[in-house]
Amino acid sequence: MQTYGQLGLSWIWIGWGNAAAIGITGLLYTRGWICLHQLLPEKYSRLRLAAFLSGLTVLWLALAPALESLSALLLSVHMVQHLLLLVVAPPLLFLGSPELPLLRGLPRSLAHDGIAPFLRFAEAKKITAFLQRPLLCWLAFVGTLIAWHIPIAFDLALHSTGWHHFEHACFLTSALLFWGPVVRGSEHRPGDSGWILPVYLLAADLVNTALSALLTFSDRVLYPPYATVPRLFGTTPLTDQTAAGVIMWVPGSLFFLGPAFVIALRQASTPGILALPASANLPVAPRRRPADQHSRYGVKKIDLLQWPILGAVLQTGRLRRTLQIVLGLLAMVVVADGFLGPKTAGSSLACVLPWTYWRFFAVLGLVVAGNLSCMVCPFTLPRELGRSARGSRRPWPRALRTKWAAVGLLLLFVWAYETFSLWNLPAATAVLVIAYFSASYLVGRFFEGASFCRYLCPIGQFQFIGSLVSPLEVKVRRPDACLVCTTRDCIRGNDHAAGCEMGLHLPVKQGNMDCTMCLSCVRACPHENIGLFFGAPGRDLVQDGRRSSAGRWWSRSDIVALSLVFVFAAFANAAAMAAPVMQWRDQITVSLGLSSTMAVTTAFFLASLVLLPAALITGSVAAGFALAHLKRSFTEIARRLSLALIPLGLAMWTSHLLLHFIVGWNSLEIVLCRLARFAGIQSPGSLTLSAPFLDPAALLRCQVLLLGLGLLGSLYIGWRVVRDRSKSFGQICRFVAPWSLVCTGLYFAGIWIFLQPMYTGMTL
Amino acid sequence: MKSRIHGGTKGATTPATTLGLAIAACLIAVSPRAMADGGIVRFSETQFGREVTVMTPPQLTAGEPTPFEVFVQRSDSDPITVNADVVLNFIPERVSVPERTPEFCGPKGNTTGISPQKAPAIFSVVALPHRGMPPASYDAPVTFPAAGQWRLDVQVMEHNATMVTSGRLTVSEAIGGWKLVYPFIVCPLVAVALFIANQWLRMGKFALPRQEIRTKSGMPRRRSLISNESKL
Repeated sequence: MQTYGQLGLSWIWIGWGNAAAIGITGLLYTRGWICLHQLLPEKYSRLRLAAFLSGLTVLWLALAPALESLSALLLSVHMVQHLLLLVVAPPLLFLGSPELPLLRGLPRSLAHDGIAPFLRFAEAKKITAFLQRPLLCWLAFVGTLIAWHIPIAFDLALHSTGWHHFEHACFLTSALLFWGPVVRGSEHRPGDSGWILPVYLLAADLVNTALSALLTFSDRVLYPPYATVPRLFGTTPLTDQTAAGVIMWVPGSLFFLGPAFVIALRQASTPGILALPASANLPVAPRRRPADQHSRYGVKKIDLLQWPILGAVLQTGRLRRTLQIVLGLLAMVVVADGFLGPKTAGSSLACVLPWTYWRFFAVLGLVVAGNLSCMVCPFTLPRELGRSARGSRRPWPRALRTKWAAVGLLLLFVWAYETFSLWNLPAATAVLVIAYFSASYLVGRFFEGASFCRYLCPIGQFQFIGSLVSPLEVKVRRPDACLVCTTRDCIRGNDHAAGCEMGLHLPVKQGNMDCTMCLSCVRACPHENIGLFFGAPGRDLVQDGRRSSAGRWWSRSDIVALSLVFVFAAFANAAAMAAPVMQWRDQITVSLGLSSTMAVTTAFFLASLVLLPAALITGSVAAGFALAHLKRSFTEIARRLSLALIPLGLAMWTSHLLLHFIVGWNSLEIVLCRLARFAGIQSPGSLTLSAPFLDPAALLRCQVLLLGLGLLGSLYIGWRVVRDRSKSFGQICRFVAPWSLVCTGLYFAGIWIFLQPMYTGMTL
Repeated sequence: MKSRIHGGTKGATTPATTLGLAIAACLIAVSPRAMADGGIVRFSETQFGREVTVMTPPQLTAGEPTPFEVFVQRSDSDPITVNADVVLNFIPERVSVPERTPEFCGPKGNTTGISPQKAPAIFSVVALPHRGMPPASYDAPVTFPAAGQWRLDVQVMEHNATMVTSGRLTVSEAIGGWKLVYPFIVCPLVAVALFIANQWLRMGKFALPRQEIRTKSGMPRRRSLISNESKL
């Protein structure tokens, strides 16, 4: 039998959402407080820290599930919740003097570039000054208090979640306004107007007393919903209401009368001990000098290779080799199951592993880390086998040293995937894997370097483009050390390790293009001068320096074409499995009298991957030039804005593949069960699959959230590209507007696609 | 930024209060649990000396998890019972829903003209004791497969005695796709508006010197290294 005691404290662990938000605020404050405490220990004392953190704790308690649940059943508990929001949390938060600590706790770039312009804005100062007028604050507080205790309003909040949120927001906002003048006034030297504060508090207490008296002495239930809920602890609705009135009256009044008494006492005697001289200056933190491994704001960059265990494991290369072998064996299993196993995609390892699992994790790796897929790619094994064979190898033909072949192969891959439903054909998937192994071996056998990865592999090009938005990047730790380096082992290699297989010279390497993250350069560098750094995602797309082996991107039409295929294929691929698009395709096929949908599908991909991108980019940039009269190279800006779409494309790919993963992640159970039965480990019987761990509504929200982040990334990069070439704010806006419409249109197209029923085939 | 709190002149104001208010509003807005007292009593019945009360959110929507709370207490107002077995049986009365085909998935779960129409089946959910401080109710998240009229039979088993109480529930249609995601659509638009305001302030009246607000485009030219690379 369960008892109250067993159930007692588990509520603490619930409400993690509030706890996370409040915890982050507390961490920001504490971070800023530590800095300010060193500069002004008296001003930012430990009492301030304790007060602010206590205020946050009270806020969390007021919103915690324990009080929330009880407040639906007991008016007295509801009143405690409101008191915490109205008179306990706000003064504690203000006593922490939170403005500067919170600002100092934020990342310096966000505080300096993001928030400071708003704080310097004169109109914002005027509005703030207006909101701090005591009379206005008092009226807002008292008005809120009275309005929400009118039975109609109170019942509305009880019956509607949205109004209940709004009620709490009103209470907290008005209370913050009300207590601001009290706390600020009490911390300064009393002046002629110092007697206003006790009057201010007493007047508010009068209203509070009147309301609480009404609740306490009423002989009928003022809030009818409390008359129908289950009664607890032997109470009646009327006794509960009386208790609520008493709580509001006695403890509530103490929070008004106590500060009023203290302020009045100080007004009558000496200046407050917390007062600061008016001449005290704002603390100025010493600026750290940006160094090679420091960002613009002097924050040291994180080097993954210097982490204790992970860094050592990554540097040895054994982890990579092990994972390559494991994936190579899995690829062989895929081939075997593709030819010998069932022809139903949902129960075939050949379809489940590559199309449901591998694709999703490859893209997820791009988003959270970097090009992990190329790092552990099993197709490099036959390439190395080809290299070890005897015979001469020649350089890759000069005419083919571009990405155009890869662009064509990627287009072919996307088209074939949809036209022949590769995801639904185990044997075709097996053939594709074999073709990959063969091509990798043959190119490695007859050509130098990693020509297959660099110039041919469509999956690799997909990864290279996507990794331009990844946070991890291989780069040198101290550029000055490379100036005196004469061996250049990072690219040439030495006895211990091979150099960069992609021909990237690390001192002038910028970004992740063509980097497979093999870390050969790390092992080869005799100066231990290469690291794996975290950085802002998408930074490569903002900068336009000369890059090792690639030059400037805006001069590389092949890379721009690759990026456009990457972006628009994300939308076309997802759209092709949406029910309305499939119906249109079928209708057009029938109306044209065709026996197969291949022609219509081909036309669809030709239009969406070639014609549409060209028209949209050219049109929007031309419109921008016409509107802004910008005297710059059309080609350069059009190409750079094409590259700026990559975050949106990656977001679309991630959202789309997330759908496949969530819907089909339990397909592996079917496959494993089949294999177990085949091996005689498990007897035949019914199989109950695990349920998806994300319901459709939550999945849709995740997808839209990802798309939104992608849109913001693309818009920011586009803005930066144009900003560096424009003269004024207005010119930037006029130029960016048409291109932003294209981005926004793609964003809404993506949402529309996800709102449609999606065809997932037999793989689910 | 001058502030009285930070020792500035007494008449100066502090825009950071706005920041404080914004943070407080965000704390409220992100609260996923600030919804409990949006619950209403659906029905209540006394049998065998036990009073059973069912509470739910005001709006029942198909396709969305909905928290159900069942209170079981002795009718003489003694403490609520926490050791009963509570099962919620949902019986469709006037509902009709298009069935999902296995090859299609998504928010609508159907495509016009492709899938057959079929009424949903009866389903049951076991309500477990509330993981919270007293008083303990019995909670269960329920997802209605279809909109329409449903009958709820609450089966309470305690000390070899079984009582069943019933009530009717009206479940509304699933929220449309765009309505479901509109907060997530609004957020990027708000972020864009804030960013433009930020840029306007930085590049307009309150602009810093040009070289400070603009990062250098491209990496620094290191001609010696570039020329070295071309030699390799």
